[in-house]
Parts: sequence; C-alpha cells; structure tokens
Amino acid sequence: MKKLVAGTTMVELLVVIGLIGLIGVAGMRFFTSVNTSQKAFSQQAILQMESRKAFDQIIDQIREGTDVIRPVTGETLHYMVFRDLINQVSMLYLEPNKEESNRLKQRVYRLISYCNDFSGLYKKENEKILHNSIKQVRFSSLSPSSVQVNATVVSDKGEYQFLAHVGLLNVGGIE
Amino acid sequence: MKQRKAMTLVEITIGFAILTAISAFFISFMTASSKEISFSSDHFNAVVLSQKISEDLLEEMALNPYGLETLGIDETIKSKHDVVDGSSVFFSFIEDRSEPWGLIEPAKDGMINSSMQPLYNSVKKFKFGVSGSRLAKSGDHEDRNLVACNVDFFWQTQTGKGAYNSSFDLFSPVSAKKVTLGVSLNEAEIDARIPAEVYMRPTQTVGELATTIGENVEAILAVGRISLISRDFINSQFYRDAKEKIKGLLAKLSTLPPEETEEMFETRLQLAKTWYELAKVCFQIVSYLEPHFATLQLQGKFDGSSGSGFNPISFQQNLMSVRIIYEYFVGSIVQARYYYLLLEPDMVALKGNKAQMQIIQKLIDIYRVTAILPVRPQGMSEYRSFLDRVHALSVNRNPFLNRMVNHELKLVENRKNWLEHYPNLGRIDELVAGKMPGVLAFIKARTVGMLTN
Repeated sequence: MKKLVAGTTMVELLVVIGLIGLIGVAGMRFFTSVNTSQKAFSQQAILQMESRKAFDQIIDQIREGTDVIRPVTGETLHYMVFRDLINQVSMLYLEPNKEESNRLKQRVYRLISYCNDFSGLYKKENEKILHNSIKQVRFSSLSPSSVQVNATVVSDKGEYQFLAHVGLLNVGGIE
Repeated sequence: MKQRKAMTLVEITIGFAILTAISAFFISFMTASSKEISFSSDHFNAVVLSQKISEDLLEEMALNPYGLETLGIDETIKSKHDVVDGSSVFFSFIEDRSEPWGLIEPAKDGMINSSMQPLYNSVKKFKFGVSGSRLAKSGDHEDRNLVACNVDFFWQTQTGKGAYNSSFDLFSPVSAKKVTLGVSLNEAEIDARIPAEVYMRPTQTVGELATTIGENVEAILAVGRISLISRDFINSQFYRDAKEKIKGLLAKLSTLPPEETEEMFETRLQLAKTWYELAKVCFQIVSYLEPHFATLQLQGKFDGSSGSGFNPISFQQNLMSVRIIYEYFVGSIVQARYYYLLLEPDMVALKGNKAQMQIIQKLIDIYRVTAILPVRPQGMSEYRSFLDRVHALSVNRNPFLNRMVNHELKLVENRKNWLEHYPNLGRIDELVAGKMPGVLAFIKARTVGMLTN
C-alpha cells in the first residue's frame, strides 16, 4: 500500500505566512528604530563635541583680556568689549548667518571676535569666526575681572546651552 | 513527486528565540551607548558648572580672605544645593533679564529658571556641595594662606548616581607678613657715627663712651639711633623730593582747567601715591625707632634729666623730629585717602571698572589704618560711612564686593575681633594705639622746655 504523505493545508500555510510577515514587520521596525536611535545618539555626541569646541574657543578668547569695557559690572549684553595686555580692544558680537538660518529653519548667528589693532583700520585678518550657528549669547559682568557667558549652540542635531564664568588675565589697571 | 513540508511550530519557536537573542543584543548595545552618551553629557555639564564655582571662589577669596566664612563654607559639606531656581548663591547672579536694567536681582532675574531652555532641563538634575578650609587653621605658617577647596557634584543617572569632584588650592593671605614693619637700615654704619655725631667724642667707641659717661651701651645706642635716624630723614633727599613733588603737583592741579580730565586724574593719582609712599616710609621709621624709646623710658637717667654726655638741645630737636615724622605719617595717610577718594567717582569713565576696584581696595586698606589712629577719633565712623557707600555701589552688581563689605561691616562692630582678623592691621594698632601715646608723652615731657623757652 502506498504511504500517503500529508500536504500542507491552506490554513497552515496562511498561518505560517502570517507569522513570518509579523516577524518580518517587527524585525524591520526594530532595525529601523535601532538605526534611527543610533543616528540620534551619534548626532547628540557630535553636538556635544561641537559645543565643547565652541565653549573652549569663547573661553580662550576672553581669557586673553585684562579689562572688561562692556558690559559694566551688573550689566548683561549681547556683546562684549574688552582690552588685552597690549591695550588692543577686542569685541565679541553676533552677526546674522543667513545660510545657516535657512538650512536650520531658525534664526542663527555667527559669533565673531574682532581685535582692533592700533591702525584703526578694518583688517580681515583681525576677524575670527568663533562659531557658525549660535542661537543666543549673553555676557554678564559680576566683577571687573570676570564675565559670565551664557550661550546656546544650535545645529541640525539639536541645541546645547552652556554657562561659563571666565576670569580675565590677572593684570592691568592702574597699579 | 517530492512533497515540501511547511514550517512546524518548533521551527517557528526556534526562529523567534534566535530573533529575540539578536534583539536583546542590539537593545543592550543601544542602552549602553545611550547611557554612555547621557553620562558623558552630564559629566561635561558637571565640569562646566564646577568650573563656574571655582571661578566664583577665586574671585571671592581674592577680594575677601574670609570669603569661605562669608559664604558659610567649612571643611565638610553640610548641605547640597540645586543648581537651578536660586537654591545657591553660586547660581543666583546669572544675568540681568528684567528692569531695573544694570542690576542682577537674585530672586527675580538672576537665577537659572525654566525660562532658560535648554540649560534648565540639562542642569536641573544636579546637586552640589562646596567645602574648604585653610591648610593650617591657626598660627603664622605659610600654609595658613592656602585654602583647599572641594566642589562635589551629584546627579541621578539611568544606572544609579553620577558624581564629579574638583579640588583646588587658593592663595588667600590672612597671616601676618613675614617682614618687620620697620625700615631696613645699616645699623652698624649708624652706630659707628654715634660717638662723633651725637656725643662729640669722635675718637671713642660706643663701649668707651659708656664707661666715660657712666651709661649703659643700650641707652647710648638708643639715643644715638633716634638722633641720627630722625635727623637723617628730615635732611634726606627722599623727604625733600616728596615735599617738592607734592608742592609741584598741587600747583599743577590748581592751574588745570576742569575739561582736562585725563590730566586731572593723573595728577590726583600721583598726589595720592606720593602721600601714600611718604606715609609708608614715615611709619617704617617710627616703627623702627619705637623700641628705642622703650629702652630710654626704662633708663632712670633719661627719665630724670635731659640726658647725659650729649647735647640736650640737639637731642630735644631730634625728639621733635620723631614727632614730626609721626605726624607726617598720620597727615600723609589722611591726604592719600583724600586724593584716592577724589579719583573714585571719575574712575569708571576714565579708567574702567578694574581700576575703580583697585582704588576701592586701596581705600579700604587706608581707611582701616585711619580708623585705628588715636589722633583721629572720627576714623571709624568715616570708615563705616565709606563701607556704606561701597555697599550701595555693589548691591546686585558685584556680589563678591557686596559680601565682603557686609562681612567687614559686621567685623568692625567688635574692634578686637576685627583686628584679630587682620594681623598686619593688628600690628599697626599695637604701635599707633598701644605704644605711640607713651612715646609721644615721653617726647612732650622732654621737649616742653624747648617749646616754652
């Protein structure tokens, strides 16, 4: 007698296909979310690194100063003017950055440092871009020898705001 | 015909298990990297915030050696503060965000609050504590001038608790200076001149002189040094130059038109500095000579007569010179204060805030001295009034100066305690209030004949 081999019924087949489909969708979703999260994490890490860089650049620049001209003690401004050891006056200020603003779909600025040398003329080489996309910066003076910086750095990865208290070079003045 | 078999439930279960294992691996990998990034971000924030506190402490201690005391900080962390919502003085003066402009009000616009995004959200999890103490708690050892500080940050992480510690030493002197307050002189050279120039016995040594006139060596040296040093100073080029310079500067000041503000400022500054320098040197001379008066006061012969073996008229003149030098010290320090005070209101416009701060610090030093001079009984009330003015200037503008002035105003309520806090001032007080009245009485008693004749 010939042995009968049972075939797969339509119901079994549908169940298996359904299960595989479900697993496939779940798997796809999982790998997509893994990919998205990983991107987000790495973007966050990049934002942090960029913020650190901006933070260090701003601090380094201010530390070259000996006297804060503006803001005066107790004042908060969007710019800062200070004098250095050889009596050169430097300014830190924001300038609109249209390209970045369009790209990021929000208003952002370049943070510029300009050191005015004794010639009194504008010189491109005296201008330094400290950061390309700053949302806001505020300088507050709590004493004549230090300044507080409150800055928000923006990128397509997000925003990062830091607060720093920077002491100036401990020289200068009348004595 | 070959028949194909569908997947069995066992196969599907195995498939599920494999997928679960792979997912678990990915999930744990993702969780670990999320934790790592979040921890790294928190750690960076803790470093930046801790840096702010260390800068604050640096400012505080540079201005006020008792800054830790003022801030209520000691060697143990008593309480932990939040970074946000004005919980701590370190994060209460952030910026000026509302009227009146130019004043940072801690309860209104100074703190980090929910309007400061994204900062508020990224730092609200942090708590911190500050501790600090002097390396030597008492005495005059150099370690007493060093303050060891610790800033500890704590925060909750996904895995438990995060912590960051920052330790540093600050230099903030409170011990007495390791120098004599008196002037440095070549005593051997002066002593060699004494027999000839004070006792008119050029061929004798001080020892021989002692035998000849029946006086001990210490008393002979005391009379000799008082005579020669006071005489030399009154005739010195330094003294003459200082007087001439002051005369010249005063003449220049009287002719300067008011619009010459820069020149006016420089001239006043030069006057203040010259008076201050003269006061300093006069004080050093008096401080050097004072112990010699103690020797003379102990010698019976000098107490009962106008001297022995030397020209009493010259001696009287020299005693008067000492008195003049002391009066020059008092007068010069008051004059220096006057000219520094004249600079103070103009400083912001002309030289900036840092120079103004230096002037204020200089004035505090000078006011402290004039507050202890017995010949200036109004000195302390003048000092308090100056401190009140600085307080008004600093409130909600310069929290470091404000705290320092508040602390000083409390200290001066108890004179003894105040002087103990400033050992150098205590040493000056010991001389001007403790010893000089006796010296001046001695000089007066010895020179009364000279004045009436």
